[in-house]
Amino acid sequence: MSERDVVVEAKNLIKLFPVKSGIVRSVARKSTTIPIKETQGKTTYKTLKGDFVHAVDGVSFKIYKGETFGLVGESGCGKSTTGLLLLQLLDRTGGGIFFKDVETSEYTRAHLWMNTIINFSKFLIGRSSWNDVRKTFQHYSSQVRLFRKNIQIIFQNPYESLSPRFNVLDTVAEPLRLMHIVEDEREIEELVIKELEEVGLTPGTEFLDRYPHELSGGQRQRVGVARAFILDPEFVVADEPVSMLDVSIRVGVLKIMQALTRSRGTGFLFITHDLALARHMCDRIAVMYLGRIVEQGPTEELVHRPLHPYTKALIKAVPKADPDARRTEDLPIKGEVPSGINIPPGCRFQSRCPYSTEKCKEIDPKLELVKTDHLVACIRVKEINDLK
Amino acid sequence: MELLDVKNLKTYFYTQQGSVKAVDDISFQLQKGEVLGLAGESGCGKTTTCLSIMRMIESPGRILSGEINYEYTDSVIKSFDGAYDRYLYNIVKPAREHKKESTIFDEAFIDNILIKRGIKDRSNNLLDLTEAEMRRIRGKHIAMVFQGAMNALNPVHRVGNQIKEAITVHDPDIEYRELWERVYKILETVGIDPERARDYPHQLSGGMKQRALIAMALVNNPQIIIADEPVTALDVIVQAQVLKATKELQSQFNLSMIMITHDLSVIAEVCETLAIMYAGKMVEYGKLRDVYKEPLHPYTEALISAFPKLTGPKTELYDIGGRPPDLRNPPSGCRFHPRCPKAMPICSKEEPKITKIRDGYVVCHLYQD
Repeated sequence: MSERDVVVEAKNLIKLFPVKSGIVRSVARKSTTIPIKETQGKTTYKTLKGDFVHAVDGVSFKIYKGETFGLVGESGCGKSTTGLLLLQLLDRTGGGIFFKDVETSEYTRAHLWMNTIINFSKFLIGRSSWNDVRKTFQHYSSQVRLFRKNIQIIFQNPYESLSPRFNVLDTVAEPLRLMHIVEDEREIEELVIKELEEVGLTPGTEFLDRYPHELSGGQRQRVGVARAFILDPEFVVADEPVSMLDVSIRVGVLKIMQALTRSRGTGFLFITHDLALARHMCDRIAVMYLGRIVEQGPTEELVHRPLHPYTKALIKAVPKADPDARRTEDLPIKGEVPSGINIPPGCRFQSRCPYSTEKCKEIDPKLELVKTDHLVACIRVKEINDLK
Repeated sequence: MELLDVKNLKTYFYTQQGSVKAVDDISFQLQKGEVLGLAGESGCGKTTTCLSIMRMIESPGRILSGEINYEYTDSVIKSFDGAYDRYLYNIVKPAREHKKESTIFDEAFIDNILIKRGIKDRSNNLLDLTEAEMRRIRGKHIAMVFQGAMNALNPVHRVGNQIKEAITVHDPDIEYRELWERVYKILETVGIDPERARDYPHQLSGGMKQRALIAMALVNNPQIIIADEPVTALDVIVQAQVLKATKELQSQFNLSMIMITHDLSVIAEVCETLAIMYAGKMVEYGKLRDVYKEPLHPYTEALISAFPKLTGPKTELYDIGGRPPDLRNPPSGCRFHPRCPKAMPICSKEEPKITKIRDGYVVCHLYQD
């Protein structure tokens, strides 16, 4: 592993969504034990009752500075949930998220108020001074703000993610105003114009007073990109940013995102269902299946020499944009992704895997290093690929 | 002779902001057993073209002019039977339509009698048919697989019943046992367990719904199938399965197909001929390999190089720039000229004409003498 700066790290991230059930079924509820936290080699467990959808179940990865990391998978595999968890837009059930080596749960408002209340009660019984209370509050609130400033998101649907009542100036300037970074309105406007021109909306002054309904899909998504990048964040999540756009418009938006992340050294999480698109955007790709990462590696390595049976099938299934390379043989896997409720023990892909054995039903494979930077979660990976 | 021959088709939508020239002067042919891919960005008129062929354009849209010649139109008219028509009216009971088409004084009805007695000849143009006659073509001769399997099925009817309905509409006297045998057989053909016929659409997965829709289109053994974005909403693996099933069925029944999609790689996988549409016009038409390997029109070239590829060396994606024009007042001359990298002065003044090249044509000033 290279010694670059890690911007965001996910460690054994877990998110379970409870399944609502009737009275009869709730009597015979099952219990699930999951690891919540890991501190100095000790793991804390928690037991939950009821049925759960295992949306994200033990996902770990690192995103370096200036790197584009792709999360690829079929719908329902948990890639969007992972993105939302990293930004703390969803509360995780377990695991750790580290933003520049600091656990992000410290950046939440809940944490801020809890600490303030504890300090305040200490002050009431005379254990601490008013100055201390004030100082810790200020420290935590500035931490929250700093964290929020440094992480941003670009949403999938530009038709829904922009407020119809905000014009472009207000939309793009909102992060600046909320963070109180620049107070002068004239300065804000200048910054917004500069950012708009950087995302290809030139001349920027012409767009300031426009409302979203006056913009085309591609222009809206550019506004979305400008809004995400105006605070110079260190980490940006893009959740299927171009899937709603037309082919001819898509490329322009992709190129802008690529240029911005490269020039500013932003850590970029690119979530997509399209492997070909991920190949063009990303430095490293992780393939997800049913809440787990099954394979992770450098883009070209993963696309040309996939090791996990699922990745192999996925690459085979993508329609080739070449009439001479038509698929002739059958797809090795059949059926569709099973439900995320009550996942049986063993490998998750085992029910559809062409290489599945009895052993696969028992052992839950861990993500292990097979080649340099190339991680695979499969117990038979060496047999299948003739590796030593 | 071609199975389907579309000539100079024009379909406009008359909105309050002006008329939208959604399909403007389109011509193409479809042979028996041919699979035609219709590609282009959204809003370029792909779906409107196909709805025009089915004559399912609703107000404010209108088919202005053109011909849609279907080879077997004649036989449909000759077998046209008033009793059957009345039967259909009793089933469907569109009160409004009933009043409008009082059959006896209908001019077309009299025409029909003349044609049946061999006194008058009529063209094969689908646009000349009455609504009642057209209803016999839809589903029976030309069937459509609609966009978005999630919404095209009726959620309150069992899947089997919905397929059954497609048969009884065209063959009301069919025996009960034979009817269900056909439903089960067609479900098996598209790869769904016949027992699932009793399921409601929400009990099926996305891929299965799409297959059920294909079954519904296939069940009457139509000559032509029009598939409107059949795999767009599906995941890649399911997509590959559905595409494979479609391809097998196509060769098994020697079907002619029109496949609408914005995804060129899907077309590369299935089709034999390719037509590229831009802003209501067909800009290039020809054999898939020719068009794909050596695109002539600058738009085709740009579209192909704008797609990310998974195989081969990593290439830079091409950014077309700009955006599709507003079809209420499209640019003068060639409609692509404001975005075209090879635009010449003549492009903005004169509309290019069709130039015939290698089994197809291209509409561009670059290739005109």
